[in-house]
Amino acid sequence: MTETPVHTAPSLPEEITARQKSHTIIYVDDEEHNLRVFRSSFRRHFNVITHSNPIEALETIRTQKIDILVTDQRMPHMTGTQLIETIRLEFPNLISIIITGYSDIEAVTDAINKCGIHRYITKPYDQQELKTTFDEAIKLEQLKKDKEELLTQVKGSNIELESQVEERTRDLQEINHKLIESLEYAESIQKTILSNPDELEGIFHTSMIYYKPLDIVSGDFYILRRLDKRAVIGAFDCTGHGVPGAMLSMLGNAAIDNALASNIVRPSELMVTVNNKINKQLKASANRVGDGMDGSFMLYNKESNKISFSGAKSDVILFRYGQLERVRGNRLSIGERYMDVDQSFDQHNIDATGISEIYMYSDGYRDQINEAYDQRFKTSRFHALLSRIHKEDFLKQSEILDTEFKKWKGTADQTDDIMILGFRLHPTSNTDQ
Amino acid sequence: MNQLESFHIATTRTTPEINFDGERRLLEFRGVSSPENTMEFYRPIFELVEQIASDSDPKLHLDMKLVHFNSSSAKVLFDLLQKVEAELQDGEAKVDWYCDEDDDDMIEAAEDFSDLLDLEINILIKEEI
Repeated sequence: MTETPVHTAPSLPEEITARQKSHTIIYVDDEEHNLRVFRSSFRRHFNVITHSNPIEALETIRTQKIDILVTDQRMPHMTGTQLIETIRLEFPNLISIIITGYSDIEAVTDAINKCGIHRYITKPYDQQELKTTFDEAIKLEQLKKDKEELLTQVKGSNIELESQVEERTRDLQEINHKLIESLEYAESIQKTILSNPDELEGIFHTSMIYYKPLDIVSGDFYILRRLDKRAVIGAFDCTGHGVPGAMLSMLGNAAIDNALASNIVRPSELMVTVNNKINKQLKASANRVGDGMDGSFMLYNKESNKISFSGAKSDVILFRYGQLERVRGNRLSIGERYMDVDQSFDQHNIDATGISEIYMYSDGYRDQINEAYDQRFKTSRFHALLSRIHKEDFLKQSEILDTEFKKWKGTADQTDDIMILGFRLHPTSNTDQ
Repeated sequence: MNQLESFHIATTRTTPEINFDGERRLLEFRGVSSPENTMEFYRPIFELVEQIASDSDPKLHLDMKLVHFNSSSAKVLFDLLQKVEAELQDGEAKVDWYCDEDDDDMIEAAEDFSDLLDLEINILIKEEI
């Protein structure tokens, strides 16, 4: 069964009437008749208070919550504008409306600017028009209030946001601090695997280790080992940098240590042994792609004045009678997935006669990107730079490498870990005196 | 041949710009490749190759215009090209590899890829401007 509505009178909806009734209007006029008319006209919509005496009206305004003050202009004791002027500083939100005859319009318009009168209505007023004026004034006042409330809210949430941002920043700083601390600790551990250059004393005249990790810890590492009159040098560059690179470097270092401990010193044999070991380890962890290392081994025999070298995607640079010689390693990485077990590496056996300096390096320096991110330093520039500086003492060389690097890089980030090892075989006539 | 959706991956300081033109089946790599996690970065490209391979008319044209890729990217890119080689038939895939004239490292890298793969890799030498 459906219910039929009892009545459909076209009256104002209940809630609007109720809302409007929640507003109070005070009407001041010295003529009792006017007060009566006003009351009967508006009490349906508003709480209406009327006063014939403006002094009494003042009292009411001060003691009750009034939304709108409607006043006649011409009254004994006090005019309407005077009344409004008296009250407006105390109640800035009170809506004031003056009802006046034509003769007073001039006085009223003057007062409008002074007193902030909401509107003036001329007598005789139209009831409907006045009602609309009240409604609009109330609406306007409500909007003002809403705006202020919103502003306060926004201010509040801004302050809250600011404190949240501050809190997050503090959190991030703390995390960052912890990470850096942990990286620095890792760095100190990694340093323990890097050999001391003193290890090679008595084999080379002087040496240089130019070592610039990208993120505190490095994927580049080196091993220097002296065996009587010989020196074995390994220089390796693990895939990745930072922590992943450094962890791989620990694997690589352990594999090399192991090989050296079993008295393997020939570079090609070292390469095969280390490659087998690393491959086994990396393949054991299923499906890892992209891990591995490039690098090389060099064996220098001071007595026989011979150099032997094997490399995995890595070269060695020699200066012989001032000329650059590049000895190429195999074009294979250690840990390459497609490689067979016991993959062999070529060994280059080189007579060291006339050789002054030897450089082993990772690709970090020559792969450095420029500020525009459209050019690498490249092997060609790297060779030219070494040719220019190889005769300088190694301290000076380090400085030049650093200056040139910064010049090239500009504001670009460092591309990769950097390692350049330099060895001078004999004292030279013009340097290292 | 189904129309594959084109996409663009914007470059960052460590990752290259990648453009795929679905209509022309042209996949282009530009810039620098040294992501923190290389395999993760290239995973969508491996998926794309699979998508192309399963198409009724599989075809792919690769433009390599990288300025730099680190060693881990080299390994992953090699794997990617190996996948292309394995999944697509002869003549369906083509690689154009752009190198600067004075960039021996890049030319060699391209040659290494070419030697180790049966893919058609054209090494295009750009003269310095």
